[in-house]
Amino acid sequence: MSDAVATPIRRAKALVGSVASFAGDWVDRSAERVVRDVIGLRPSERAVVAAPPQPGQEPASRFADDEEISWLESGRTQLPYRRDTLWAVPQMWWEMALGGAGAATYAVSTATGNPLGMAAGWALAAGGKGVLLLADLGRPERFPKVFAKPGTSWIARGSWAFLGFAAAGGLSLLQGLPRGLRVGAAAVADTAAAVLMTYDGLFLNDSRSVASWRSRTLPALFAANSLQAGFAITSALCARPAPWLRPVGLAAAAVSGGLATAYVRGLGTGSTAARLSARDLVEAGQRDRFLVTGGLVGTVLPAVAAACAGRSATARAAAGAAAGIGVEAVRRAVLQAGIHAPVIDPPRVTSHC
Amino acid sequence: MSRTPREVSPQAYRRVVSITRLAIITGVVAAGAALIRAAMAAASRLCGGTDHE
Repeated sequence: MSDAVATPIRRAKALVGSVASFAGDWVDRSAERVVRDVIGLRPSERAVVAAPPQPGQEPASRFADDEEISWLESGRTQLPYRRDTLWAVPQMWWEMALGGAGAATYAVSTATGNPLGMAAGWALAAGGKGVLLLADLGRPERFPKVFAKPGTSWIARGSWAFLGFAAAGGLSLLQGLPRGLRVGAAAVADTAAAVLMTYDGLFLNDSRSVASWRSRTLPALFAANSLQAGFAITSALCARPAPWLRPVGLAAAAVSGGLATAYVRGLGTGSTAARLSARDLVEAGQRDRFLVTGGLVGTVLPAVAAACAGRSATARAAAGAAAGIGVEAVRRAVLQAGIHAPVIDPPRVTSHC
Repeated sequence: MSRTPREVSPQAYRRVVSITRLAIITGVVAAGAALIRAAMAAASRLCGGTDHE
């Protein structure tokens, strides 16, 4: 590839990466800055030495004992438990979130006959996810290879689904085309949308060394979470939502919450790496993101708004925005809680005789 | 005039950061809701204009 082409592509990729990274960290950095500069607090730097656990005392974690936690947190390179840094990057979680929420919004809006929702969903998934996918490519000249081997690779299947969704969804929005053609295109786009909602989970399932991504609950959780957001965003974009949207949206929220619980429970009974991931999700680094932003803001708040104030356009708009943010939080938490494990656990230092 | 930050335990600090984070996310949700309302209003104006034409 010539320099005249490669340089702008490299710059555009860097720009997209910077924007995704800024958008991913903005909330965390702002919160830290407010607490330090406005409220005027700082954490004590004195080392807090934890007292040894006494008989009958509650353990520090429900999922892992102190030694297992030290395997992950000590940072010693000879202990091979480590958090993933290859896939757990801003571009990945934004791309997954925009694809999932956009595809679900398009599909639900097609079912309700809401052209504004269809256009918004298509723009989020085809535009937002498309830009991030292109920016994520390592070597642009090898772009066609991403479509190779759909028989064995979920990345290839997802790429085909994305292409189908972008093309068919775009056709379905063109008002000048015959109605039959638009309806057919919408049916193809809906099928591709179902794949887009789910394939991120299936693609993570293929990751051999991260136990928490291999959970069979993950694709269903991603699909239900996307659908729930799709119902909330579609309701927000309707002047008068169809009567069936509210109960079905509430059911999707309940399924999404149930699957999130089942996912963490499953991890809690798994290998050491899976239990350390469960600890990250509900007790440690990802707790705020997974439980508060993904669960409370992204699932419970839209459900409560739909149940109690479904007629209010402002409440529906708030529910749609909250559900969209929740989708990003769940994807990000799951990615950042991914922990690579060694084939065999390190030898135990303490004995439990 | 700059204030001297008060030193608190790491747990208390993390708790305050979590609450602040939730407050910021609430603001982001409100901004998102306003954006959706604005998009709805714009779409409605656009459709209304087309009808009148």
